[in-house]
Amino acid sequence: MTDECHICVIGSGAGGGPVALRLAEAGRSVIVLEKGPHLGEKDFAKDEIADQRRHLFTPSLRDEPQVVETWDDDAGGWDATPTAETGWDFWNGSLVGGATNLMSGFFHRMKPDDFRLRSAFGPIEGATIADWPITYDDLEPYYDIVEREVGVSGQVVNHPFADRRSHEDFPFPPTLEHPFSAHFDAACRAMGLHPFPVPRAVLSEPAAGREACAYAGYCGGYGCATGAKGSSRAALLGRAVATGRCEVRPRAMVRCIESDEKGRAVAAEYVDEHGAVRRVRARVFVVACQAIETARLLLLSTGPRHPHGLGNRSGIVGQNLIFSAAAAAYGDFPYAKADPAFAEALRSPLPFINRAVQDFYELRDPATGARRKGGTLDFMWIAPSPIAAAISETDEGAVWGWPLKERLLRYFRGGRHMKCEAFLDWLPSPDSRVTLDPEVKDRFGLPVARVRIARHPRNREVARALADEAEKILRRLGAEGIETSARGAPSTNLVGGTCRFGDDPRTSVLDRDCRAHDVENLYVTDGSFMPTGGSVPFTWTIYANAFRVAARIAETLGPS
Amino acid sequence: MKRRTFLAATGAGAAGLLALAAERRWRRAVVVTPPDHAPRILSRAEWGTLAAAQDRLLPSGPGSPGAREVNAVGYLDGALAEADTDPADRDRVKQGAARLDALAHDRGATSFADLAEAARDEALRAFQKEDDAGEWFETMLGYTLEALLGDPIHGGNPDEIGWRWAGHQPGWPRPGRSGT
Repeated sequence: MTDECHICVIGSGAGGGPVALRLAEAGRSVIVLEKGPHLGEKDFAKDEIADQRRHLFTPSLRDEPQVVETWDDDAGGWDATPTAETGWDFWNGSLVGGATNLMSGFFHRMKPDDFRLRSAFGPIEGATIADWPITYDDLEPYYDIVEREVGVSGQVVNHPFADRRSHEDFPFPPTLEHPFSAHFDAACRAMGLHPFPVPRAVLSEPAAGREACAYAGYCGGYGCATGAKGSSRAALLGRAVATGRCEVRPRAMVRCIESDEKGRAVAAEYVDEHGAVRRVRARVFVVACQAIETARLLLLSTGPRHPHGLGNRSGIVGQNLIFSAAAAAYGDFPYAKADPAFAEALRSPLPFINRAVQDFYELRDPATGARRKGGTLDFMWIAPSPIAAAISETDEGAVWGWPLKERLLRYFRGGRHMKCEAFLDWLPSPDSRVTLDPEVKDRFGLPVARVRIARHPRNREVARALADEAEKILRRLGAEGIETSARGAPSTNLVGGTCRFGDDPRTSVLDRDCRAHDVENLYVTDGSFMPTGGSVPFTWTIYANAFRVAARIAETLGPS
Repeated sequence: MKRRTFLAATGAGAAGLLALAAERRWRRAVVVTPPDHAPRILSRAEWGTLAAAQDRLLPSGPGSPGAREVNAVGYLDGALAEADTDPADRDRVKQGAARLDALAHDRGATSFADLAEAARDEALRAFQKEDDAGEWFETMLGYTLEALLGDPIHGGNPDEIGWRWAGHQPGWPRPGRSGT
């Protein structure tokens, strides 16, 4: 069976939602194909066993594996392991609205120099750093649109890396803050730092038919039952469907995009929930399946003019896979050591601290004193997932019996536990990449994504420097038992780079409008387009860019 | 790379709790264990041995609920019965039970459950020193702590006894809302 529409959008998260909404508003017919189920506020519950332990929102890793390659120093080669053996996978939010349903919504914009990382900081050996073909000023109006369309709560506070903005302040006031936030501000200012409220893609007030945040805890990793969280589903897709011109088809697994003798994309072929094969013909195709699965779909979509995959004349589809490199610091605030007023404040059930520091967005090279990129420090209470916390107290099964119960009581009743997440650049390289696995297939019979994770040593150096700064702040805050982690490990939920955009078709997959250089009616709007991702979470930038590309597609199509 | 102890457990909704199944048709299954159910995966002997082991992994005391109070062995059996539970988990749990009984034999008892508490702890420590025993402890502690701190809808944590002990405030809304 074949259906027709103007725009076929594959994937319904931060990359897909803005395109569906804008093109439907512009009078175009839109079909959104999403491999996961269609769930809404009424379906979401705060259920650690189902949502976290049984990974309700990702496919079974035995039915739909990926293969992860990491470097094995002992063997001197790449070690490939199917995700079902390790549980370490790169699926995120397989449901309508994608991973935006499950995000914490810590929203930061990229900085102007993030758009020109190579020019601003120079090349780094072993890293394929490229300037973006657009500037902060080109994207700024769309960051602004996201504040209104998705809903961002915040408060502008001046600091050395504060954003240039079109509107003086955010459209929604900050979400309620834990009393600790005031303590955080005072301690950081005493250190000469500039703490600021983290903008959140969480409504602090009802708007557009969505309720405000209920401060019910269990936020990141869980679906939002009030609609306050600015998921693509809650904020955008419902409005797209309400135009009468957009249809969202859940449980639709696209297995290839067919192209004709001229090289144009003509139809998306998908398997529906009953196993039937269906097709959607469209004038324009927009792929937004997250960077890993997007690369896989393009590589699977060979055609007469695209023998190595759709849009892959350059041969670099899948290469330059980036993540948000991570560092973290942890500290405890025991009630027993706090004075009574502070202990009382610590016990407040309000979930959000909402504080960040970007004073270390640039660092100095310890040897040469040269400027180098640093990153963002976000501070938060460790998310209340009691089973995960308890399991971590067992030290991988070593601690049990009464010693374990004493640890659990100390953890749960003895104080509060803080985490600092550091966001920093993951340096791209051709070796960090997605290919089709030569052997492993999924339940649809399709080769799965083989994800090679090549780490540049600089990631770890910067991670260490940021973790050290986070440790100093935690110490100043009065934390005990401080631990840091600076592995520069890849984020599993923030991925990009596999279809980088640029002006040179030999070194980029997409042009500056995120249209494939060699397929005139194919666009990619998830994080795949980013040659570098900034030292911030990607989501706001992906949303903003998708609104930008949607505007370009609407212009290209002309009046409807 | 940290090994995730449990692989995604998915499959058909458990029988007997139709409300949950109806509400969560999309919800690939979730462990649901009525407290009085007959063993589905474990033999009677394994049930007894593992219950005795869980009783030492998560002991009970005055005002301090342990494996017994949170229906940990029933929860374990239910979790292992889920269609998409990794078969390796089932094998590992059962092999550990057999090993504990063998250690009990060495100590002159007919089964692990017949040992006194101190002797059970000693046998568990001996087991823990063996190669590959670490995964058994991780697996067992994982399921046992799920029974202590998971939502009661899954069959553990009756009357939120584990949450109350820990002082944990659950998120809202809870699973199993009616009419959805």
